[in-house]
Amino acid sequence: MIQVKELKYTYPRKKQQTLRGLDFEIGAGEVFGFLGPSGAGKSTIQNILVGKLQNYEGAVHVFGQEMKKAGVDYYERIGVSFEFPNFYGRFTALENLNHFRSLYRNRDAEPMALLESVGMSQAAHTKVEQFSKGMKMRLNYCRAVLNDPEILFLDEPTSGLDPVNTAMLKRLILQRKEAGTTVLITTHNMQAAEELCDRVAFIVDGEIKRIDTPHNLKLRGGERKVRVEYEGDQGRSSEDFALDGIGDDARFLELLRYRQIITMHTLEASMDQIFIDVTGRSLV
Amino acid sequence: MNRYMVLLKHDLRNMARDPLLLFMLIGPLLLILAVRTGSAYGTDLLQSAGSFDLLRYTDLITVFMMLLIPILIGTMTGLFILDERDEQLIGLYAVTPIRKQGYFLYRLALPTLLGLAMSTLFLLAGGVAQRQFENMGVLGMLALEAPIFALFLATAAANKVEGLALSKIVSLTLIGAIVAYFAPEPWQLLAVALPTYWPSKLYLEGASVGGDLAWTTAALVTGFLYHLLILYVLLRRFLQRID
Repeated sequence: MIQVKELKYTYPRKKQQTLRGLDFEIGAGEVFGFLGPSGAGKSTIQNILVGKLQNYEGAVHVFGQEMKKAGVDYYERIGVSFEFPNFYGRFTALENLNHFRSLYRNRDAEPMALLESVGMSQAAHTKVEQFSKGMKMRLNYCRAVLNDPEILFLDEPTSGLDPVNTAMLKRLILQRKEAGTTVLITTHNMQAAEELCDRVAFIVDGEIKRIDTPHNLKLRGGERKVRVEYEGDQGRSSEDFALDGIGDDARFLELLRYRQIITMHTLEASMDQIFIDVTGRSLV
Repeated sequence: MNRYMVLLKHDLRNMARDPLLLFMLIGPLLLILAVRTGSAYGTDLLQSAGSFDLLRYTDLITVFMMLLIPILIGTMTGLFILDERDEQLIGLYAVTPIRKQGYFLYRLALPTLLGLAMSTLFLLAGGVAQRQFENMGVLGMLALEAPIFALFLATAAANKVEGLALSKIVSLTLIGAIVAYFAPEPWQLLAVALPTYWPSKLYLEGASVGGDLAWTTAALVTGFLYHLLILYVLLRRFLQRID
């Protein structure tokens, strides 16, 4: 679906390259995440893939076509949600969706049904200028899928959402994936990326430091151990046990049998820790 | 529906909710109506009150009023662009089938065509303009002035509120008409930087008895090229700004 080779980009009047030779491929129906701190180049990649930035070096093929040659048809097939929601504030949610839907040939999507899917049917006739950031973000998602896109670009989709709405949006994104949509997410929300993405790319200073599945990254970065926290004679204590041969570990079995267990966790690394280990940077 | 018609329909709905934008759309029509019905009445009134002959200033009134039309339409368009730039909607249109090119084509074609239509209506039906060949060139320049004023506001203003303040500066360009009418020729050089000077000069050259053909041609060619140059420079600056 998307093939990128040796992608470099330098913004006008800037000396330093923002993207420094990226290579990656994204398959059809895949949910792919670009993870990195602010200024790493995530949005620049998205802006190149949606055709907003043209003067790049290297090869960028989407739907088998070089991005520099993308025409009107390309925009019929993609949906884009930017980090900052863009709407006509003086118009209602429904009026905004109807307007933007009219720009596409595919007008099968029902704006009211989309609003219902994000729990906003009650706000359909409210002016967008009265919306909170979270409501605008949900409306932003509705606008991005108005044309039932084959590729969906989401920039920080969970920004400004409370946990309930974050979970709802994740569910909607996974439904899109199941329907065959390719989804590209740029975010610095590790938890969202881990739950949504088939693969993630760590980006720092315009370079991809690693691409893999969240599961593989966590296994590779962690230790094959389990940490048991229990109520000991002198108060709470914890001990680590190797996973290999744990069924024959007498001390482990003793704790399970005779102590009150408080928590028990395997020690795979967190995505945040893996990111720091791989890139030497934190996701701020 | 054609995508440009979608944008037009949206603009009309937007104007219906904003009295200022609505006034700027119907303003030129009100102006034409006021000039047509008011000029004869005003002439009679002033003559009977103090023997002031308004008819002597018909050409000045004509150039003044004809310049107001693109100012109103350009300001309206500039405020639309500022609104859309403030809400980052231009970037959004860039990733829809309308694309950035389509957006700008629409945003600049609309004031051009509207300005041309309203200016033509004014010159033909306003009841004060002279019917002359030079009016073709005048209309060409007036049509380009609305997008020039729109881009000036969109480039110079940081937001819509600043845009409203700057629209008053746009109105000051009417000085071009006054200079072209009152100032003797060497002093007119002071106003050549104002785009409004050129259609005024061309109209007045045509209207004057024994007008100089060389001056008329110079005003037409220079004025038209100057308008195109300003439009190009402003469009480039605006595109740099939104990128």
